[in-house]
Amino acid sequence: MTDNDRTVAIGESMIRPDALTKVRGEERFAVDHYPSGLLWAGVKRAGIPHGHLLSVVTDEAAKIPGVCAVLTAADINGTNRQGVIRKDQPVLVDERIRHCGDPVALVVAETQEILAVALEQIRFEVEPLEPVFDPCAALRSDAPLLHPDHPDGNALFTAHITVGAGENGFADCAEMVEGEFDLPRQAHAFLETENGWARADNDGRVEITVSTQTPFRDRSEVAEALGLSVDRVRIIAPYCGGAFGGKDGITVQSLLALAALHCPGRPVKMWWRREESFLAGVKRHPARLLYRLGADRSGTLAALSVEAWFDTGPYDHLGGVVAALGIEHAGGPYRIPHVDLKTRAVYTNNPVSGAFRGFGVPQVAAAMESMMDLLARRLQLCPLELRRRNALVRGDHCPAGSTRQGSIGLTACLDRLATHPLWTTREQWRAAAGPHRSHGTGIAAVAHGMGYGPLVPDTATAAIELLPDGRFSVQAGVVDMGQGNAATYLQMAADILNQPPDRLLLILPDTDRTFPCGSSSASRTTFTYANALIPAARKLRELLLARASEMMLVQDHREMLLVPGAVRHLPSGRDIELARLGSLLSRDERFVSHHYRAPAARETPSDNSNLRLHGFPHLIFSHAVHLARVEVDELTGRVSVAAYLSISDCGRIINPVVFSGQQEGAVAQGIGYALCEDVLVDRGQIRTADLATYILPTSLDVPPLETLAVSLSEHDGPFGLKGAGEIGIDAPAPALANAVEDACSIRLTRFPLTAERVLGALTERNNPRRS
Amino acid sequence: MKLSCSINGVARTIDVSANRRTVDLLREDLGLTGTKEGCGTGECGACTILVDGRSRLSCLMLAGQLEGRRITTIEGLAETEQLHPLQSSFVRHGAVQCGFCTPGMVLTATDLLDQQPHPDRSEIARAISGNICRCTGYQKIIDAIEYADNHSPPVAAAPTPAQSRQQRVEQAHPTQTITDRPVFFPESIDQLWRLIAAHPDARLFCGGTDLLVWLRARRVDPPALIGLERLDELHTIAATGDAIRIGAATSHAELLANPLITETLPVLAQALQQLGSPHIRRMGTIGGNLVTASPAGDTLPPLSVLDASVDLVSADGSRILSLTDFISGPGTTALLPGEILRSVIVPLPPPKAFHHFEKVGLRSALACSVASLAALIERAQDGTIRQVRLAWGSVGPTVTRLPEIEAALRGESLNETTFAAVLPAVHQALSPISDVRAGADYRRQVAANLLLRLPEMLSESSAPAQRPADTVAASRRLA
Repeated sequence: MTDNDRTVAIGESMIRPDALTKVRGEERFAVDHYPSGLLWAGVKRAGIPHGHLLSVVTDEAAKIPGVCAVLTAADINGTNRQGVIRKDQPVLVDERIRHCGDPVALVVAETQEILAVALEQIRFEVEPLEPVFDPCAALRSDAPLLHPDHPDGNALFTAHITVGAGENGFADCAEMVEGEFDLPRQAHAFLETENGWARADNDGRVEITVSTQTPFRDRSEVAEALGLSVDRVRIIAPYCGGAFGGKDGITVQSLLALAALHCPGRPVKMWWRREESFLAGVKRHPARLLYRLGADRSGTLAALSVEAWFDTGPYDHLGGVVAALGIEHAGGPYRIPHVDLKTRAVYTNNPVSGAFRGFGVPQVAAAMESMMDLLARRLQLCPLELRRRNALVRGDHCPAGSTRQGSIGLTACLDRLATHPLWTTREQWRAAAGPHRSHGTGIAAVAHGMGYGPLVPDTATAAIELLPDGRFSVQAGVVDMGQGNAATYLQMAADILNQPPDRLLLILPDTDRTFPCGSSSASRTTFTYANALIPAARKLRELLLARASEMMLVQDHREMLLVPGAVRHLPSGRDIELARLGSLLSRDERFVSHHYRAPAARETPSDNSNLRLHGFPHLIFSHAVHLARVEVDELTGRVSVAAYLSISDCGRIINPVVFSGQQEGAVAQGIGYALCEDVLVDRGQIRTADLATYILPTSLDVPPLETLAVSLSEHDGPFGLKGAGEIGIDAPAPALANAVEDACSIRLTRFPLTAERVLGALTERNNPRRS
Repeated sequence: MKLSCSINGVARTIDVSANRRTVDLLREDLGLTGTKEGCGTGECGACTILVDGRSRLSCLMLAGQLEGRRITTIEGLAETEQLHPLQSSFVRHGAVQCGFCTPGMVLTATDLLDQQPHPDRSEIARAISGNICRCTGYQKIIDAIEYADNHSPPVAAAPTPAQSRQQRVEQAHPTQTITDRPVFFPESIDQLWRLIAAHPDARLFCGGTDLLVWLRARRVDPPALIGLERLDELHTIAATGDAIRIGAATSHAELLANPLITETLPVLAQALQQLGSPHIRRMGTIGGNLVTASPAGDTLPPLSVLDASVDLVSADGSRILSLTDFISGPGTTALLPGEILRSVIVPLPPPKAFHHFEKVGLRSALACSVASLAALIERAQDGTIRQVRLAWGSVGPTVTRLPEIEAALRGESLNETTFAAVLPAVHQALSPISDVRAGADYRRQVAANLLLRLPEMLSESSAPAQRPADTVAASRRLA
C-alpha cells in the first residue's frame, strides 16, 4: 500500500488514514466518550409481544437516590413517531406494545448500577392482545392487527409485477422446477452496539454524538418525534464500529435527546448491551419464497413466478423498500420473458426487521440461484453454461421489466470463472474426499442495483476548502461505518489536487459542519458523494490555478500545475506555496461546494406509484459470480467451506485493497448467513440474544478468499466505479447450497444450512422411506 | 482498594473497587478507550489486553486480579511514535475496516508472535479464533500477522499521540460503583481458610470465565468473592508414580503447554485444544471446568475415560472422590461448604492406548459442544479391541458412560462394522435434551455417529508421528 505522505492515483491501494488512528486505539468512536458529569440512560422494555399499555408506574424508580429522570410517552411533546417511509414506531410506547423490545419507559441515573436497579423498579400494566408471528397468518382476515390505522391491515407493502405473459408463460415451457425457500433472520452483530451521548444546553438545543449511518435523516426524525425545530438538533457521527444497515435509522437518538432535554447541562450516555442490541435492534428480514422457473429444452429461460413474504416485524423500518428491492432482483441477472412477481412486507409481533447489507437481495438470490441449479440438473446442463446462456447484456429487459442501461460485466465474470482453477479442478476436488466426507463445488451469479430508485432524490453536497495553512479540508456528510469510503474520498481529492493524502483533512459528518449527503447505504455512498466531490475538487483546482497565475503575473493559467504543497508555473519552475495562497485568499475564494443528484430510471415498467416510491426500478447494477468449495461431514452434517472465490463487476476499482476488503467481509457475512446465523424467535421472544448462542463465523470458519474484479468502467460512475458494498453478500448462500447439493445430492431450501438440517437431509437421502 | 500495577509501562496506584471489571477501569476510569467492549461475556475478544505480556479478556477480569501485574493496552503497544510492526502491518494490509476489533486483534497477535515468531496461516487463524471480526472476513488480518515482520516498513504515527494519551487520562471521569463487593486473593491455604470462615457466603472462583458472565447477568449476587488464582499449590502439575496430579487452578493453556499432559494424556489435550478460544483457555482452569459441571464441559468426557478422580480439601481435612461421584448433575457437585477442589488425579493410561476426542459444535472455535465423544481404546496383539472406554458429553445431564456398549465392543475387530453394529443401542441409551443449539434427535444421532470415526482415526494413529489432536489445523490443511 502507498503511504499517505506521497501522492496517490486512482487505482492504487492507498493507506486508509483512519486505519492509523484505529490501530492505535485512538480513534474516538461514539462509545468512547465519557465526558465530565456523565449520566447514564436506559430503557425499560416490554418483554411481551403484543398488548395495550394501560399504565406505567414510575414512582418507585424515581425515588431511588441518584435517579435523575424517569420518562414515559407522556413526557414527549412531538409526534412520538419515528420511521423513514411510514412513521409508525414510537420513541416510547404510548398505547400499544408491538414487540418484546418496545421501550416503555426511559430512566436517567448517575451510574449504571443505579440505572439497572431503577429499571427493575418500573412496573407497567398491560392488557395482553393476541399476537401474530407468522407473516402468512398475519395476512388472514381474522388476524390481529398491529396498526389498526393502516389501510392495508398487516400488509405494510404489497406489489405485483407482471412482465410478458406472466404466469401464462409457463404454458410453453418444456421444463419447470419449483421450490419453497425459507431465509433466516440475520443479526448485524456489529461489534460496537447501538450507543451515543447527548447534551442539551439551557436554551433547549441538543447535540447528539451517535453511532449512525444517517445523521441528517436522524436530525429530522428526532426533531419531529420530540416536537423540536430541526435547528434545535445537532447530530455528530463519528466512524461507526460496524453498522451494515443496522444503524440506518433511529436507534438511541430520540431517547438520548429526550433524556438530555430533561437533564439540561449534563451529558447523557446510552449504550445498549449486546443482549439489548439483539432485543431492540433491527435484523435482516426473514423471508418465505415460492419459486417456479421454466425453460425450453435448450436451457433458455422462459417463465418465472415468485411469491415473497418478508416478515417486517412491528414497524416500517424500510420494510417496504426491502420487499421492493427483493422483488426487483427476484429473477436474478437473466433474460426471462414471462414473469409474475408478488411481494409483501408483513407486520408481525416479531423483532423489528430492517435494512441489512443486501437489503432483500440475499433472500431472493438464495432462492433464484438455487432454482438455476435445480433447472440445470433437470436439463442435465452445466450450471455455468445455463447461466452464460441467459446472462443479461446491456440493453436487455431484466425479469422485472426494466431496461438495463448501465454497464454489465456478468458475462465477463462467468468467462473468468470458467477458466479459474477452482472451477476447472472441481472433479479432482470431489474425488479428494476422505471417509465419511463428500466434496462439492457450487456457483451463483447475482446483480445488485444501486441507489434510492426513481423518486427519492439520491443526492450529496460535497465541499472542499483550501485552508490557510495550505492543507485542504474535505467535508463529507456521509458516514464511514468501516467500509473505507472516507479514505476513498481523500484518495480522489488527493489525485485531483495532486497532493499527498496527509495534506488533506477529512471533516466527518456533523449536521452543523457538513452538508447533507444522504445515508451510508444502498451501495450508493461512494457513487453519489464522489460524484459531488470530483467536480468540487476540479473547480477548486481551476480556481487556485487561476488565482496563482494572477499572483505570478502569468497570462495562461494552463501553464500552472498543482504540486504537493504548492502551485508551480511549469515554464519557469517558480512555485507559490499553498499556505501562502491559503492565507491570501478569503474563505469564499478558496471554498467550493458541489451538489450532485444521481441519475434515476425514467422508464415506468410498473404503473404502481407506491412501488416507484419504494425504489423500483434502479438504473445501475453491479454484478458478481461466486464459487464455493465445500466439504460435508456425513457423520455430523457439518459443512465446511474449503475455498471461496468471488469475481465482481463493480466498475473501475479506486482502491484495490478497500475493494477486496468489502468483498471478503461480505462473503464472510454471507457464509454466516448461509451456514450458521439465525436469530431464533419463539413467540416473539429471542432465544439467541448473545454472542454465545448467536453463531458468528470465527477465523476458523472462513476459508481462504480469492477476490477478483473485471474492471469495466461505468459511464455515470465517479472515475467509472459502481457500488461494491453489498453485492458480496448476495451470492454466498446459494453458492454454498449449490455446493452442498453437488457434494452429496441433497437440496436444502431452508437456510441456514446447519449441520442438523444437513444431517437430517442426508438421513432422508439414505433412507427415503423414513419420515 | 489501592491497586498497584503497571499500565503501559507506568507504575500506577489506583483507588478502585476490587470488584470493578478491568474493562471499565481502563475505559472509564483511566480513559484508555482503545480497549473496546463488544459483548461483555468473553465471546468477541474486542476487550483483549496484555497482562504480563499474555492476552487476557478485560471484560472477564476484576480489577483486583491486576495487583502487581504489568498491563499493556493498545495505547501502550508502540513504545515510540512509530507504530509497532504489527500495527504497521495491519495498516498496510488493509486489515482495519471499522476498527472496533482491531485493538484486540493486534494485542492477540502480539502475544502470538512473542510465543512463536513465525506462525503459519493455520496457526494464526487458531490464535485469533477468539476475536470476532465482522468486517474483514479475517483474510487481511491473517495476511497482516503473517507478514508483520518482513513486509512492513514502519508507518509514521498519527499526529499527537503522546499528548492525546495524557489528555485522555485527565479527561476520564469514573462513575463509581455502589455495590462494592469485597474480593480476596489469598496467597496461602491458611489464609484461604480464614477468609472462608470470615465470609461463609463468599463465592470462590478461579479463572472467572463463567463467574463474571453470571455476575453480569445478575444470575448470582454473592456478598464477597474469593479468587484462588494466587494459591501456588493449586498450580502444580506433577507425576506421582502411577498418576498425574493436576492443580485445580491450572489453566487449560498451561496444560496444553505441558508435555506431560500432551504426551501422556492426548485425549485430554485434544479436548483442551477445542475448548472455547485461546483467551478462554488461558483464563479458564481445569478445576473451574469441573466445578461448573456443565453437561457441555469439554474436559469432562476425557477425564471420565481417563478414570480421573478429584482431591477435595477443607480446613478440616481432605477426601478423594471419583469424577462420577463428584459431579452429581448439571451444575451441581459434591463440594461441601468450605471445601475446595484442590487437584485432579489422573491415573496413567495404559501405554499405547489410542486416545481420541471429537467435539461437534456450531462453529470451529468459541463453540459450546452439541455432542462430544472421548474414547480410550487398548488393542490386543491381534488388533482387536481389548479394552474400550467411551464417554459422551452434552447428551445427558452430565458425562454419559455406556458400560454395556463398552462390553459389547470388547474383543471385536476395529472396523466400521463393529461400531455400526452398536449404533442402535447407543441411540437407545442416550437421552439428550433439545435446546437452542440443537435438537435431541440430532444430538443422539450425531453422538452415535461419532463412533464411526474411530476406525479411521485409529488407522491414522497407527501411521507414524502425527501431532496429537490438531484436528482443526489438519482439516484446514486438507482444505
